[in-house]
Amino acid sequence: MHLGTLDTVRYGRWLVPALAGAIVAACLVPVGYVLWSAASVGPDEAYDFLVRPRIGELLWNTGRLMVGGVVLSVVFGVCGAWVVERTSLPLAGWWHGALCAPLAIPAFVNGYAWVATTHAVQSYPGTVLVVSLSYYPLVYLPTVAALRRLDPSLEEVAAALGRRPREVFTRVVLPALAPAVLGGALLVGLHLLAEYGALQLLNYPTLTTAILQQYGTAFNGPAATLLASVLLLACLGLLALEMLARGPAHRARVGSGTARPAPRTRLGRWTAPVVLGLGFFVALAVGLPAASLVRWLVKGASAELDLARMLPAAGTSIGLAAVAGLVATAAALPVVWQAVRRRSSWSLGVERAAYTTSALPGVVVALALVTVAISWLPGLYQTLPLLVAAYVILFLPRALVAVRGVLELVPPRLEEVALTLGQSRAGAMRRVTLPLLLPGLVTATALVALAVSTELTATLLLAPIGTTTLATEFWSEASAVAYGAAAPYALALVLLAVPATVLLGRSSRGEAR
Amino acid sequence: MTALQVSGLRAGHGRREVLDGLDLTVEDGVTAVLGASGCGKTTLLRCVAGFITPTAGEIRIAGRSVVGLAPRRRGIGYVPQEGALFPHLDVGGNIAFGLGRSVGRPERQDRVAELLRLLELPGELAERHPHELSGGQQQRVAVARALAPRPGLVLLDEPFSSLDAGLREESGRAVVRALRTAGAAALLVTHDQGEALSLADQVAVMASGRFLQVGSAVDVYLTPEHPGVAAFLGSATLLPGEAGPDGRVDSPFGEVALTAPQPAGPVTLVVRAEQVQVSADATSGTKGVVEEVSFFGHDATIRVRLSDDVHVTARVAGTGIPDIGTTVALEVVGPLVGYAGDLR
Amino acid sequence: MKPLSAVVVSVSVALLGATLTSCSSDDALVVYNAQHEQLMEELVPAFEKETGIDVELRNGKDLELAAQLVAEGKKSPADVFLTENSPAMAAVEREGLLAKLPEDVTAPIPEQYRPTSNAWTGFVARSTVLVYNTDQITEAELPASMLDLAKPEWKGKVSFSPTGADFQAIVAGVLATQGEEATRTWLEGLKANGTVYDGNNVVLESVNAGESPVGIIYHYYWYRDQAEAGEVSDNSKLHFFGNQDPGAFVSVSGAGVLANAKHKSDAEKFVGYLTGKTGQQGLADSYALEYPLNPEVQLDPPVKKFSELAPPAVAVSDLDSAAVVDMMTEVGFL
Repeated sequence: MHLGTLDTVRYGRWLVPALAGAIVAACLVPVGYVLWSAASVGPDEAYDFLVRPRIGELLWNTGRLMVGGVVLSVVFGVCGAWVVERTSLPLAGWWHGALCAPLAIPAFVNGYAWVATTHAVQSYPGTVLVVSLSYYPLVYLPTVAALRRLDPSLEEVAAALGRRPREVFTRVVLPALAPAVLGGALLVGLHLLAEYGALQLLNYPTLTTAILQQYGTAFNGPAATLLASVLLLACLGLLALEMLARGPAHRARVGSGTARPAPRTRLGRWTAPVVLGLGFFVALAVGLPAASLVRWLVKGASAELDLARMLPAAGTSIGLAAVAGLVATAAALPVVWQAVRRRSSWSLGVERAAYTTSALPGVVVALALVTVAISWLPGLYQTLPLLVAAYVILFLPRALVAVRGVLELVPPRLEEVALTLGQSRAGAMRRVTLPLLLPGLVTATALVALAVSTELTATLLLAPIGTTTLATEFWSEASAVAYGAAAPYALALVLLAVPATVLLGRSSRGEAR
Repeated sequence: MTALQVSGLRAGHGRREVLDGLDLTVEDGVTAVLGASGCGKTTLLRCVAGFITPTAGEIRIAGRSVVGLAPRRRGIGYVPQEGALFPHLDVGGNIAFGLGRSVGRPERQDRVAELLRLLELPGELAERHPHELSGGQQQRVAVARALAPRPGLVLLDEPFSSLDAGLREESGRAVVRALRTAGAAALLVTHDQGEALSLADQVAVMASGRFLQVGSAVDVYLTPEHPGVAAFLGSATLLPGEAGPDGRVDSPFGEVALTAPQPAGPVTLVVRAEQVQVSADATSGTKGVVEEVSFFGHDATIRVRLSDDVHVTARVAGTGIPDIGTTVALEVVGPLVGYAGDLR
Repeated sequence: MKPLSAVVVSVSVALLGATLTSCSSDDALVVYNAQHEQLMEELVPAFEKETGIDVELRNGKDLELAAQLVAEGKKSPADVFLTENSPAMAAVEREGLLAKLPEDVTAPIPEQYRPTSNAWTGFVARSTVLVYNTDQITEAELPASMLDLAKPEWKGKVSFSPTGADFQAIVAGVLATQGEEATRTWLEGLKANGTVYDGNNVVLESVNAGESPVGIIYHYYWYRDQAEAGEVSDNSKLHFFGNQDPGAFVSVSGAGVLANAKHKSDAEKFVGYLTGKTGQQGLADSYALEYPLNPEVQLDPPVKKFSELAPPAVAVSDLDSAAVVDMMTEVGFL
């Protein structure tokens, strides 16, 4: 039934599209800046700069990191989700928590920990492993959520048709999970494109590390933005791939709310090996970075805890993360609404466009906002609203993916019923749609908040002067080779991330309320 | 007062016209809009509800023009397919959803209890959540929710299609009783002729965005104004015939009587399954070979081949069903509906 | 869930309010600080106490703050810019964003460590060193000159971090002393021989771990880690090239006043404080272990004395960072 798209409501016929358009336009400011700045390089010069072995090497490195990192994250995420949700694994709830935990550990902390443990990770396979251990939860969480709401009768039908459990999984469950997995994979890909801190430590040069080096060594803005344009192209390629893989649009149908639990595969004699394997995996993903932090804390001479410094930084981190999380979630709503409820190639294009900026390194986004704000919005320059706007621009895709996942499951009919029961458009939104979207909104806020709490570059450039966050303090100590002093901040970051991670873990299993 | 009056209603999807100038008056009671899927009946319902803005025409609810009015200001109740109960609210919350802010807590509870009783549902259901209800219960709660604000008109969109046959009839009856008690007129959209004929006071048969016939259930069944209506309602076969200048009509069954005389020339005859009498003794009447049997328990329909391109459907009692392949004799009972010309 | 989000909102608003009220006034001197934050946090309170001038620091790295200043242009809120290495300062100077410093502010610093334009001045310095793994290399095997590292016998044994501003300053030193041809040959040899890491701390760590027998870094990375816990330096030692070798190049951290500074005289006082005896003593006493440039102040042992470094005679004005970047791009480091 596509009648809902005919002309569902008279209200907000222009308001929602206008909001969505404005939000995405704001997100595209850095893209415009990159193109404008790159255009200042003459075509010949640009050709000479871009067509040389070094760029080829960077492209190759970036490309194979994307492929390896995304594939491995998907493998970790999907296998983890299946074992936790669909097998007779003992203490599944506990393992679920453990598998969500890497979300709380910033990628650069994980990078530090691994390099300090073994230099073998300073290689292509090592780098792929470490970044995947950091980012797989972005695939794991939506996959768990999708497994939870998958109609078990699908699997029963397949089983009745004589399929073995493995075939049921690959031929029925996996295709049904595809939208969730692809959404997560897209986020992982975008993060890998823009990742700097962890890759610098892992000594793995990519386009993004090269952009930073252009700023850092050559102080050459135009050359850096020229590289950033290549990054944008890569991002467009990624988006196109994801769309291709997603195939023709199909809406998830809302289940009639069966409380029937899905069938679980009996592990039997495989129980011990699976538990051991999971344990080993969690030790790598969580135990190793945690142990490193503790070691710095114990060994470092500079490891004295200055609470007077840490508390304001922690407060600011929490405040910024919460505010930016809520604002990004609010901003995601009209964009997703437009894309899901008024599906057209235009509205889908607008939604996709919002993803492009997140492939740019933070420094490029921050410099774009510096350039634009100081000329056009001098009153906002280096104020909190601009900083929050920067966070929203950087991390909006996390909110988009989470909100989209739930909105697709809320049938428009429910809103229509509310409209006939005396509710205005806004009333129907408030009393019906928002409560149903709540798990997705919580997920979106938590995902953005986690990213904001570890953000560094935009914070350094755009925060009101004198603002310190846990991430800036950690960086300040760590770059001064004072790991001991840096460790408490990293630990505080991890601890502060725990509530958000718990919230994410719960909402992915439908326990948000 | 006229609950709903639709005149000259047109609506479309882009350049595609879905409704092609509809006129309909609903006085009170249940009006069923019956048609195959895709005929435009849901679009009509959504125009009345206010989810779609028509391109032309007028819609009056309780005498008031509502085109351009928000759904919530139209004084309607709406029951979509499968009920669409709010999953985050319990049954009581669902039913009380449309009660205004001015309605106090005790009044709410009273109204919920009253509606549950009206829909013949147990009072303790109020605390349950939608996923804990059976399909039939969900549907009745959806009706209760629609009736709570005391609308003059309730719109039902294929409300019983997801229920199994027995439940469908029982739920349908209960819902119609509730509507009558509540004094609400209803517009029921359905593709199920049994549902339409048994529940509705007035039936509007729809095809390709137009009404073929609007009238009482008996009228549309017994005197269909259009072969399409005849073909859609009940098991009927359209057969060719020839009217002579003397008013006699020749058919594959020999000479037959018509409900109304037709001019000389070819006619199309509507032969209802229950008008065909079947006897195993193939000595008198028209002979044919049984090709298919559909058994319903209390009775069965059989498809009989009279000649290469003429088949007819007949209803037989559950106890005397001929075997496939046997030759039977057929006789037509009572006058047939006929239309001038070969309209098959 | 609703009360929870209400709590989150109110808590965060309160926290933000608290952090906001704690800072920012229009009269404060705004310093864009790419020097190590801890160093400035020791010096700034002393300066504020002495002069009564409020100072606010925006901390970042050379690359970010230089790029930010260039992007901000004439509307920058910054009064003073402090860098870790000279190229960032030179990049801002090229954009014409720096004011000429008064004579008395720069006077305490030897001429070699400030540009002839007087648009900024050096205030601390770091020496290039070779860190070597004591299990893999004996003192006798150490190269006499940094240029030797490009020779075939060092193949696979050298690590360095060519992508930071630090190394760029070193190459600029080589270029100034050896000329273009020799520098290119050296860079190519080094590329063939060496392992590239991103960051001096990473180089130190990998030499200490035995990944690479020797590495090119700045002196203070090693000394600081020794002061910390020795976790990434206990298996290694420093080799100072001396003898005016390019490998003994000394790179300076710069201080400059923005041409459009709102508080120009306060800004000059601040830079004057950094170059004066009190400020330099503060630098020397800090954990930073970088060399004060005012000859009246000396760093305590165990750090090798500044006077014993015997660096090549290269003036900061002679460092041609544009040529260095071109050359490094050509060789394929960038």
